[in-house]
Amino acid sequence: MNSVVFLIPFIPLVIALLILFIDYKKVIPKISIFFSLLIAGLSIYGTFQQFKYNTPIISENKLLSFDRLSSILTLYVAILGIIIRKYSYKYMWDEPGYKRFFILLNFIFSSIYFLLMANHILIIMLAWIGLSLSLFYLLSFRSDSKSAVYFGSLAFWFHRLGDLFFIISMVLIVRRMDNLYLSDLKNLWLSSINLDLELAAIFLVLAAMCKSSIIPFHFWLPYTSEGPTPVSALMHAGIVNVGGIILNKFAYLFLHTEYALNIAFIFGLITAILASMIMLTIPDVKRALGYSTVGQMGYMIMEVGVGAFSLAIYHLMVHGIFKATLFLESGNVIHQARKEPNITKSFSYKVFLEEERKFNKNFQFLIGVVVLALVLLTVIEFLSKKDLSNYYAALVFLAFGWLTSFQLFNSFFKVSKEQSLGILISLVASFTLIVIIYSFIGLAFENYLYGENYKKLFEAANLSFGLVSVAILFLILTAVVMWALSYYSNYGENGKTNLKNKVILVYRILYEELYLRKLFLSLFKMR
Amino acid sequence: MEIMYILYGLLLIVSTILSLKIVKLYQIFVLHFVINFLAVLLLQSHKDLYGLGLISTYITFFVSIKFLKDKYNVDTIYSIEGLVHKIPLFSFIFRGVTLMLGLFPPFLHSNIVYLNLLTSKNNVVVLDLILLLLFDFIVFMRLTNNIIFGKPNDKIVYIDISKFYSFFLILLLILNISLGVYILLNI
Repeated sequence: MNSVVFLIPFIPLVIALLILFIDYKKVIPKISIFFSLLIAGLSIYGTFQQFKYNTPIISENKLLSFDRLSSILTLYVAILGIIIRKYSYKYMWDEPGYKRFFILLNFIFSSIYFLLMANHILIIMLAWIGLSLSLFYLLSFRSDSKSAVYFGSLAFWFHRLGDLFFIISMVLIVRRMDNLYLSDLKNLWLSSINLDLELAAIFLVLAAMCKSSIIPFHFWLPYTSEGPTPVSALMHAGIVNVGGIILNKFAYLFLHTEYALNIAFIFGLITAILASMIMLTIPDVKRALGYSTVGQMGYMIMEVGVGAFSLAIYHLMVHGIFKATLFLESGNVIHQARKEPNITKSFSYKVFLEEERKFNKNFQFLIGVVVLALVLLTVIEFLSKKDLSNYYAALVFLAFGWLTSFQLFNSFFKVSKEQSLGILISLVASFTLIVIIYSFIGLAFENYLYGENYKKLFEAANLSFGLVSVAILFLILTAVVMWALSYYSNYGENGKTNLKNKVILVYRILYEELYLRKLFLSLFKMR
Repeated sequence: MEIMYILYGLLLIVSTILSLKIVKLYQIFVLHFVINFLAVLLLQSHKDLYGLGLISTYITFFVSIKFLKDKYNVDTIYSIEGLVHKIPLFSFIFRGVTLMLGLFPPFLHSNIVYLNLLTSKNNVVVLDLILLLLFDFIVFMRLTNNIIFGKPNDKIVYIDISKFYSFFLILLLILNISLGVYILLNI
């Protein structure tokens, strides 16, 4: 009876096959939605079995397995699938290739389910490659547009690079361990010590970085907005998370490495900070959203880098839901704007468009001093403790607090006209609530996914005191410098043109996306 | 044997560079056939099934380029584009052809290549198979972006492939996929 969950990856293929023979347009999304409800039902059943028995369900031929990680993620993807199919029903109605779209959508979902449930290394590899391929077809859906095909192809090249790193990693793992089944490998990794798997782990991290759009492999994501809105929603909510998912699937591999998680931490941190800063300078909304996702993915990889694997899963799910909502709603707004160009009056209108209220310069300075004092107190607390390994989670929250508040407050105060104490307090209160919920659910995920083994993963991350100190100093320095530049650019006297020029230079570097855009566009002249 | 692997690797590098330059469909056919046929030297297992996969691939590829030549006088990859919007049945088949040429799953010969990649103990063989993937990927991208995708020409009268030929070609595709899945179930 438990084996019924193994139908999950095959159901989207059945939907695609059925749609192939149906010509009546109205039936196509209904069949898709009906069967995706079936998938959700099977996922719920499988999750219930996991809660009850806590043993993975493995197929007879050992090709597929349904463990706790699969249970959470298949349920998440199933719900996402229902929402995206429902949305696409009306959104894609007037687009040519309606049938083709639903067939491709089901192929990509099938690839995701196979990736989540695969137990054999070859199946994981083929699902990983199938995912890249399906994404390429969906991104190039509007194939009569040269730019859509160009940027879809560019994304595929980056994904193929990720495929190459993944293949090399799997080859090294199979060579070293002489075993092709992930369930067996996990047990071997937990029970053995000092297996030489450093290179395999590094290549796996590189593969995850390509798929999850981490600097320097990030370029493809912000430029894939020419695909249909449901595809953008699926990509930002589901596909880019695959890097974090695969690192979780192979989490116990990192127990036998020294530097792989440190590499993930460094690149994740750099991406989280730089991408968030670039996002604030980009005028194009879709590209800005792309960089926002890049920043969040950097943060997810950073969480893996400190050993907080389960937190990364929670983060990617929450971010996915938020981003999918954002993209789907933006599509709705565009549709409405085409029918009714006048903006309806609402709270947003009042905050963003009414007459500007006077801003108190001293109030902003006071906020800066209070925040700086809090940060310094936290740093002193860190430095006075001898054993830092208990504070990795705190480091993650520190980074989370910095990043999210940076984005939240800068976006809000940059765009809005409303700058009252009331708004500020409500922002801080909701932000604090989010952090508390985040930590509570993060701990719950830790126990559910890894049990007692989560401590081993934190130990495996073994961040050195030097690395942690450098990271904290970097965060503080960036915050202080950016705050100062922002403050003096608005309120500097006319004589301080030197500082204003420096502000413009920093802005320009970020606006030009670290000059990587020109580099990649000149390298990838495809015909 | 090692020298043969190294020579094949060098041939792959040259062919990869050549694949970026050649535009005639028959030249792409011949180059792809030679390179992928010689890849049998690298395989440790399932050589016969690999050969079977290749046969079905090249039959469908040959019939497809013959169809393009006969109906639209298309010789090169730049002569026609946007077929997915105008002749959906042929585009579906040609998409299958490009996937087979690009060594994408779940086709028979693709699965065998990936299986051999995972289980090979020889580093030169692994490197050669990776170069083979790169070569096939470039061929896939050039055919897909220039023939299947693009803006169709309104001055051309598009005629789709006949149901007789399409049935035969789709049957070959299905056989190829079925054997590919069979290999996966029996690894």
